[in-house]
Amino acid sequence: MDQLRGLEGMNQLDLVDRAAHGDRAAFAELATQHIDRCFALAVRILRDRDRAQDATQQALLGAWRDLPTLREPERFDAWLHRLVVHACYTEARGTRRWNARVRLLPTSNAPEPDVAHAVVDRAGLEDAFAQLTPEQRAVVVLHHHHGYPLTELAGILGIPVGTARSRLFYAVRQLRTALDGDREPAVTPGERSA
Amino acid sequence: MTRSIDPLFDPRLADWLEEDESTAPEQALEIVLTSFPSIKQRRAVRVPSWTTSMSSTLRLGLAAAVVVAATLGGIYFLGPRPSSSVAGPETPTPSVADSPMVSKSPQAEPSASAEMTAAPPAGTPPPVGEITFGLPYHDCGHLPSIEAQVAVELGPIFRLKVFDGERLVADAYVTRVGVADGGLGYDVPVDVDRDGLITVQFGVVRGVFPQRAEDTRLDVELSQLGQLVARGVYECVPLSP
Repeated sequence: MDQLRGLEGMNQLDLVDRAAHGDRAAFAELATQHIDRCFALAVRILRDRDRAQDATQQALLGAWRDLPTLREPERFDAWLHRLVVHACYTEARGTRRWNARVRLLPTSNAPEPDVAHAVVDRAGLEDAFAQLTPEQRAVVVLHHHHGYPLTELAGILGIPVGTARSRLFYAVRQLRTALDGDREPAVTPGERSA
Repeated sequence: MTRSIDPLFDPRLADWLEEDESTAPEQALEIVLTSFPSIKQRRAVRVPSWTTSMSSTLRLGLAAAVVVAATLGGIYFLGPRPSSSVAGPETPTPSVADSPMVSKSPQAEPSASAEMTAAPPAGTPPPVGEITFGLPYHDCGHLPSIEAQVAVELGPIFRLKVFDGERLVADAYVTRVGVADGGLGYDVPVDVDRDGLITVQFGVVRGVFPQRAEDTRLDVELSQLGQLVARGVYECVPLSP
C-alpha cells in the first residue's frame, strides 16, 4: 500500500490512464475510491449483501482486465457502473440457494402510528422491489439514487432511451402501488404523466 | 449519495433507497486488491493512424477484403471436419467413486473430457465440470480434499461454496497462486496443476464443520466470474461394522 502514497491527490483521468497501462498502484487507488459507490449500486439492485459484494468484486476485477479497451477514459464512472450492473444481472440469474426474508411481526410495544406506517411502507417496498426484474431495478437505482439522467443511463445499460423510460415508469408505478395500495388507489399511467 | 433528480419521485421511495448500505465490506476491497495483480489485462485494439488518411475507396476495398477473408476463415475453421479429429483421446477424470463413502454428483453434466471435444457456440454458458472428493475422515466431521475438473480455462480467481442443505457452510475465494482466502477466517491450501485440476485441502481445516452429524450431504459448487464451472455432491456414509 506504500505505493499508493502520492497517488491520492492525482486526478481520476490520470489514474485511469496509468491503470490502463498496467499501473497497479493507480488501479488500487481507483478501486479504493470507487468500491463503496459500486457496492451501493449493487446492493440496491440485488437486495442481498453477499451477492452485492460478489458483483462488486467481479466488476472491479473485470474493470482491471478490460481497462485498456476503454476508449473514453473520462467516462470511467459510467463504464464501471455498467460493469457493476452486468455483474448484478449475472448474480441475479444464478440459482438462488437461500433467501432471507424479514417479515414484520406484531410486538407488545406497538410503535407510534407514523413509525408503524414507515415500517409497513418499507416492508411493502421490499416486497414490491423484489418483484421487479433486475433490469427494472437497475434503471430505478441508477436514475433515482445515482442521479443519472435517462439518456445517460440508457447509454450505460446499452438500451434505447424509450426502453429506459418505459422500465422506469412501470417500476416506479409498481413501487408506488405497493406504498399506496391500502390507502390510495394505484397510480395509473394517465395520472402519472399529468 | 445523489438524491432523486425527479421531483415527481415519491420521497418515501427516495428515503428507502437512501437508507440502504453504502459502504462496501472491508473484505471486498481486500479481495480485489489481492486478486487483480494476477489478472492479465486485455490488449487495447488501436486503429493505426495511416488508416485515417486513406481515401474512402481504398478503405471500402480494404474493408471488403477483410470481410471476405473473415468469411473464408470462418468456413475453414467452423465447417465440417473429418470425424477422426472430433474423437480425441479421453482425459481421465479423477475419481474415487470406488469408495463406499464417496459419491459423485448425480446432477453432474457431461464430463469435462466429453465437453472438450467440441467447441460450444459463442454465447452459451461454459460447460459444468465435475467435483470429486478425496478419502474423507472417518468421523464425517471434516470435508475431505476436493478435486475439481473444470472444462473451461481457469482464471486467476474462482469461488468455492459448500452448502449443507440450504445452509452455506463455507464460502471461499480461491486464487490459483497457492493459498485461498477462506472467507470465514481461515486459509485453505489449494493447488492447481497445469491441466487445471484443482485440489482444495478442506480436510485439513479443523473446526469448519464441527456440528456435522453423520449421513450428511454437502453440495459443493465452484464458480468463476459468476458462472458455475463445476459442482459435486459429497455424502459421508459410515462403513458398516
